[in-house]
Amino acid sequence: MNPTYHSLGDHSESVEIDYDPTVVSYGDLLKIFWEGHDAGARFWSTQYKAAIFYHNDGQKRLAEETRKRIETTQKIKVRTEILPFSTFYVAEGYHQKYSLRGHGEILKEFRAIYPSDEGLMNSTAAARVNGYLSGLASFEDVREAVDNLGLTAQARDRLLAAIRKHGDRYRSAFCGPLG
Amino acid sequence: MDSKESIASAAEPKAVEGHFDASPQGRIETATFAMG
Repeated sequence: MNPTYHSLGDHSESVEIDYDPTVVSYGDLLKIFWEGHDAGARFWSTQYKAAIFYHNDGQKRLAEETRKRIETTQKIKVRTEILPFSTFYVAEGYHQKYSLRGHGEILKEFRAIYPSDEGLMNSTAAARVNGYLSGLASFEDVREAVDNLGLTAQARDRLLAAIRKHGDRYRSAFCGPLG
Repeated sequence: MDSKESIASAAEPKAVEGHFDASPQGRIETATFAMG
């Protein structure tokens, strides 16, 4: 039986990223991963532990190299685990695009195109907007991209207004470490 | 073209949407992370 949010067993909440290595490298993704969490923190539950699930020997080698580099340069004991990938279970529909779901008027426009949760989950435009609404881009970046997301003028304005609200959060949380 | 197709084609520019969807171009690899 697949794990669910209320019956997770020994599984951990994870993200699976399909990427084109000619556009972004695994090393780039590792850099964002290491900078995006506290590698020295103890995790108190399997559900919320930090881990790299490698898919091949190359990923394993890079993950271990970067872990060693962090331990050397930051002088910390890295508690993030490096484990072989086994199976990825997609979370229930209501957990997908969580931030976007909090903005009903914008969500409604994506729902007109993707009535199913699976369709919405696989939409790269919905993923971008969800990231923007989670505070993962600057106002300037969103303003530059907003005309290419398939949204009406009204939804574009709503999106920009929401981003403007938490622009400071983006700068303080992400701008520094990601450089 | 029905209304849904009309909305979809108007709302989802191909250059933005679908790069990794039905027919991905180029090589696709997978990475998996748990971030605590």
